[in-house]
Amino acid sequence: MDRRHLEDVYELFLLGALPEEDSLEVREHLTQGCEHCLERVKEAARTVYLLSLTLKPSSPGPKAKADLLRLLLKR
Amino acid sequence: MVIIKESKSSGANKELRTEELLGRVADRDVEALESLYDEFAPKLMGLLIRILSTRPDAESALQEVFLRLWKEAPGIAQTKGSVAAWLVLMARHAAFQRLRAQRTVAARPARSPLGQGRTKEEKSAGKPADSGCQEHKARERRSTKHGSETLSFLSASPQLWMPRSEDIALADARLGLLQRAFNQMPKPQYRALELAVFDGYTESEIAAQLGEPLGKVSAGLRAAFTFLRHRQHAVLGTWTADI
Repeated sequence: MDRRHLEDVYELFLLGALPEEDSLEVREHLTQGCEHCLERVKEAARTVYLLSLTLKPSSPGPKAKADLLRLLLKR
Repeated sequence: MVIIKESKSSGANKELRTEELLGRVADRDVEALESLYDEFAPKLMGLLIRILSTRPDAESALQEVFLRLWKEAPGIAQTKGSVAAWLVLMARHAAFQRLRAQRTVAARPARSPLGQGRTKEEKSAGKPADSGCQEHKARERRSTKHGSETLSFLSASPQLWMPRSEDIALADARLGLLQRAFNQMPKPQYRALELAVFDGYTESEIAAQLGEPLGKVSAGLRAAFTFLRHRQHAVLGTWTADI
């Protein structure tokens, strides 16, 4: 897959929205260490992060936190 | 889309504090994890409830994410990347793994004893009683596998994808401006984007949902992300000659 073709797929890759075979190809390209594409995937991660924060926050119940801490202290 | 107002407390100091907390979590400090939980759980819950619909499911996914953070903190801390971004992307994938499993169960055909539910065509074609079930299982395997390559990459190689803390700090400081810019996206593009971002559908599933050709949906999604990328460069002042 050439670099220009990969240019616009990183957000979809991070969202898990690509077909598995394309995801595998993207992953292999990234693990080869293409610096340009590693910058792009970081930028794509920021985009996914920002999109995910467009929703109203909602506090979890106190039991959720207590359960988590209990599990951690057991370990 | 809800616009979250810019928080004056967000910025470099907050990111520094978060980095320090992550370092302490890597050293097995439960109180530090509790502080990160207090800081990020409400944002993650907003996202998880949108994806999973119910609070119990969202809280269960939230617990999974923080247990994973506890386990993987030493590796994440070494990357010097943004723990906020790590939490959000991991929360998304924890939720989608669950959502896909729920969809698979919901789509599973009811089995009748002794193959009594087989159609006349299946019986006359000599198909075994569970051939439909086998085809369904193959679909299930494909469906639950979606996103697994991405999740494996996110988990195994955080140093390759985690945005730098300072980049997320800058984006957080200008969140209101960015979200106003994002809201300018054309509506048809936004609908496809929403199905990918909040409903966990793949490109082909989105095409089926919208009743549109796959090529049109793929092109629309790519255009939507180009739009978002350009808006970020404009708001964050990060235009380069490479764009």
